[in-house]
Amino acid sequence: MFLNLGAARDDNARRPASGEILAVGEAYTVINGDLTVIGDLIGDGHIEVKGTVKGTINSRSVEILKTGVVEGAVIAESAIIRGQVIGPVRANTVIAATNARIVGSVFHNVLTIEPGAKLEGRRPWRPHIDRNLDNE
Amino acid sequence: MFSQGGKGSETPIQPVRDSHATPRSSGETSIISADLKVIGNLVSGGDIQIKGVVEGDIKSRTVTIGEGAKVKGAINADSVHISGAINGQVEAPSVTVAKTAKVNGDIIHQTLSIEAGAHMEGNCRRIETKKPVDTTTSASIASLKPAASPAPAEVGKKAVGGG
Repeated sequence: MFLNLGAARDDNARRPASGEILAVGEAYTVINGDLTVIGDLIGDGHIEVKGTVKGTINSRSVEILKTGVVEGAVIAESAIIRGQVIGPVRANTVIAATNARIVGSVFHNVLTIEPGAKLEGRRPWRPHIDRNLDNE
Repeated sequence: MFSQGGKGSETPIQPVRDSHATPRSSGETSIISADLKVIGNLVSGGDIQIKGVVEGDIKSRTVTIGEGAKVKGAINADSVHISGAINGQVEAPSVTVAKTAKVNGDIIHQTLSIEAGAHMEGNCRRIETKKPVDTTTSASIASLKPAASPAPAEVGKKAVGGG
């Protein structure tokens, strides 16, 4: 019933961020530690960010790992934040893990905040978040 | 039994080596998957594999453009392998164009390989030597910006004409 999302989880564990089943392979994007993206990422699968993204991320499932930095919005159905997000997060399911730092509003339907996570913005609840709509 | 002196197990004894502290040697490949579209530039000191769409410039050590991938922008790397479509200039010491590739733009290379069947439209120019791509993020970002200020000219080192 309860996913074990302990902080000890290996950053390199290769599995989707959410409980849902995702086709691993074609729909699995990795932004590595040495990669900087200056622009937007728009997808429909899973995005794993270990590097830097200066722009918006919009995908079904997004995981920002410990070393990941996003300077922009994170929009997803399911978002796990273990690194830094300087911008708003909009997702139905949001998990702010121990090392997370979010400087911006967290629009959510289900929000998990692990001890130690730094959330510096508002955390408004919404009945549903559609990542294809650019509202709020 | 706990070892004495230690404050529990809050920190491991051996120094933690963060593999990401030295980004240039992380050794892993960044992947832009088939369903993903990137609107913007990619700068990396490692390897990038593109299966999706990139609308922007790419600077990296190695770039692989997979079958079905589309790139609209310039590529500057040490090694480029193209199996997909590219619309823009490719500049790399080593360029490989596979038969499934569709290249629309110039290729500036030292060694070039084009497989039979490849769609190639553009000039192929050979250069003798090329500096390795500077993928340090700050330098690359500066060079990607259109209004990057030029390096200050060397002044004052005027040679005094001898007799």
